[in-house]
Amino acid sequence: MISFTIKRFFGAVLTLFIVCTLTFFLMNIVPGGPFLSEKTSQQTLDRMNEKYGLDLPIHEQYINYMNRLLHGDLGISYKRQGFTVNEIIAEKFPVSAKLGIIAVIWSIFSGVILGTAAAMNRNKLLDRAIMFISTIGISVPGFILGTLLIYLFAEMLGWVSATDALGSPKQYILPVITLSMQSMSYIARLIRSTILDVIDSDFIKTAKAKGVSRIRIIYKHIMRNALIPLVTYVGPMTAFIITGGFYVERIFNIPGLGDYFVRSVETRDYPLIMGLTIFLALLVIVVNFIVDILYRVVDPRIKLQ
Amino acid sequence: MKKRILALTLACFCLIAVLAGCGSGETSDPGGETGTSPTAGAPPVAGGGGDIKGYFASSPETVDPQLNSSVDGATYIVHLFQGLYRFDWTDGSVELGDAESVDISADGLTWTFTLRSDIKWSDGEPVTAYDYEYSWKRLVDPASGAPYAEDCGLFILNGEEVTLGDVPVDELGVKALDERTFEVKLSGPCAFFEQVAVFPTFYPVRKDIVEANGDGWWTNAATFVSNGPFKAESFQMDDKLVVVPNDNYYDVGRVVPTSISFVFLADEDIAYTAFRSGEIDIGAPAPASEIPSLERDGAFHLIAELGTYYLSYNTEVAPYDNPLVRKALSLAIDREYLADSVFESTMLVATSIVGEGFIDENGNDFRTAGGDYISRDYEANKIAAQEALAEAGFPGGEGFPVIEYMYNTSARHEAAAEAIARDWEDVLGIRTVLVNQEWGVFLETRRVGGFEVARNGWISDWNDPSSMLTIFRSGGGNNDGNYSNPLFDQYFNESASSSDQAVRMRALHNAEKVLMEDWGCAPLMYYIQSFMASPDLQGWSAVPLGYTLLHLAHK
Repeated sequence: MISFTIKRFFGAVLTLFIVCTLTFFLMNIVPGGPFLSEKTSQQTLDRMNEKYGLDLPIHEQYINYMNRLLHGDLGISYKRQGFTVNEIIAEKFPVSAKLGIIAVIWSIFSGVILGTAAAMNRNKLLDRAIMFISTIGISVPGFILGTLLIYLFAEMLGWVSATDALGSPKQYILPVITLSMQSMSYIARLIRSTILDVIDSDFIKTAKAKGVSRIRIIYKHIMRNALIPLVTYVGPMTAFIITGGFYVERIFNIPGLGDYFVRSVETRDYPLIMGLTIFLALLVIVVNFIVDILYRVVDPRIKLQ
Repeated sequence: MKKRILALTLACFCLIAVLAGCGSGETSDPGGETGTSPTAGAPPVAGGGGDIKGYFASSPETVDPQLNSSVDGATYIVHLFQGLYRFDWTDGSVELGDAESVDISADGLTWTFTLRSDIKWSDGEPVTAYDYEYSWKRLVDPASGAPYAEDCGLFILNGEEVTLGDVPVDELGVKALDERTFEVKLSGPCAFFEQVAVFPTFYPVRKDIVEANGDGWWTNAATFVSNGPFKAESFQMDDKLVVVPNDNYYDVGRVVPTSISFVFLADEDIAYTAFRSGEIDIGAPAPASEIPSLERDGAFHLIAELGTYYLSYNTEVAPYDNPLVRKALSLAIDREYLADSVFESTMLVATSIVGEGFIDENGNDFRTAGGDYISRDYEANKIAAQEALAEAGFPGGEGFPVIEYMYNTSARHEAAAEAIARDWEDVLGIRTVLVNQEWGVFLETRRVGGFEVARNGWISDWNDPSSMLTIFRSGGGNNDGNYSNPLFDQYFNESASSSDQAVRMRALHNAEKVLMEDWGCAPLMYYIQSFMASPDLQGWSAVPLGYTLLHLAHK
């Protein structure tokens, strides 16, 4: 376990280094720049570049950046004047994370229940209804669902506000549904098919023959086995939902990191692009690490190496 | 005194210009409601106008007057700050603000402002000429990194040299002679300097506040000290900026809203939803696709804007180096279709590069005085285009290379590009390849001249035609097509070196004539500002430069 953690740590450092370096150079290859606008004169451009050290040769900029990064300083945002990148992440990540975690919990919770209910009622009406909904849930992209929900509940019915993002608990309902619909549907289908695989196996028949109660069979024998593919899916899904709510944040006007990520690229806000990329890479690494640990908890036969 | 009369005259004519611009809006947009703003009903009491909620953009880059370069930032600044001049709250014309009088030297080069005795910052400290000296130097100082340093600095003695770092900032031609006397030495005569000085980058900030808190001083309402009609009550990034009347402002008795919330939203579609659910009272721009429904509800408004949507030709590349080719391409375009169908009447047909709403020495519209360089008769234009192309050696488009038309990625610009390409094919028999680039990439490509024909646009910074024509000076930084004609430069310089408005305007008319007869660019449409505003909201107005004024707004 300790050697696993150490190995993973060095792996993570290497991954982060590669991510930093690649992003830094790719970002600079893309034409355009943070201070270019319809009206900036070349003089202004030169002066602004000088102020932010962008007039230096690219390798010097890289060394300067990495040097600051080692001290935990992600620099200042060019397009949010007066804010450092660290401040922006500290302020915006909790918003994305809170919404994301609620969506993750909701998709696992509802996905597992729906999947189990479908499997237990195989080929009956309930099963078909759940499968129908989950097929739609997987195939309708979030930005369409989100727009539709806003139109219905904010614009037509006026139940929720279109602008007051996450201002009150009920404001969470639409973004959480939008964010979790796809993964919930996927989990429901995953759980259903895993249960159906397990349900016909010999050890379940044995358990039934022994007179083990239905609840206990589901909980102790079936779910335990169904969890392994679930954990495999939930790991990347969590990282994706927490960091990947770009369009959902834009649609619901949620001031989270996702929207900043898109904007930073559009406006060539170099320090913000770097900061967010590094932060998200770190997040994915941490989530993957947790997933690996969880594998071992779920299935003791798996060895961490 | 003479100056005051001039200012007053200008103010009147600004109003006329605004109304004139809107009048044209009406012709092209029969169903649209036009006008500066709905006429106010019973004048409400100061501070009794209720909480006005407005949308103008997402979270601003900055609300620091010297560092701002955006139109939405300027809207917030004209509420929170005030300069030597201010925009009249009813019609956006220019009037004296913090200055109570101005004395102009005989050569027109020294402007001495006497400040009012009753002007105060929101924390009660007096506003002094020293604040102005500090702020104007801060604007031009290369260390500040202000985006408008050159554009604004070049009017002031040594301004250009300071921005280049050749001369220390202390030698900039501004000086506080005492607490209430601010002397500005200009780099050359500038008869329209009040139009420049009313620009929000010239509004003062407080030295002690900026120095203690850095560039982020404005992000915290506690350190947000301003001298305008309003003061900041709270600022939350990505949420809103709330301002309330500033009790220390001398004219606070005329400020109507109880408070204004500038709500930051991601785009106009979200703003539209918010508008429909009553969460904002006014928003700009209105999403084009929703205009019909807004019009039905009397919630759609158009106000003139001083800007032009045009095409740049790369004049250094054949065949676009030939004025006849440029003429043919320009005249073959159906501008009415672009403005009315593609842009759904949120644009006006352009007949020259300087749009409607600019005022000349007599207070008349510069465009009306100069006439149309591009006829509104499209059928006649088509014939003229075909003749010009034949004369250039490409009868019926024979032998003409495929045009590469470049625009920045956007559904609207793409639709415009398609319409233009179709006109060129139908009228001239020329094929066009459409190339789109993401905004940042496009800016760079266009700047370095990596295009044949490219979409372009320019919104003027002050109400003077030179603000548009300056683009086309030889070697100018925004002259993307590298248009160059010594005669144009000669006329332009003549206008820049005279303090006599009549001489200046004549020179600018001449310069425009040279440019347009060279077909140095293809003006297509004039910009208009589109608003969605609740019919209940009264008393708001807008400056043709793009800033909305809510000082007198009430519900």
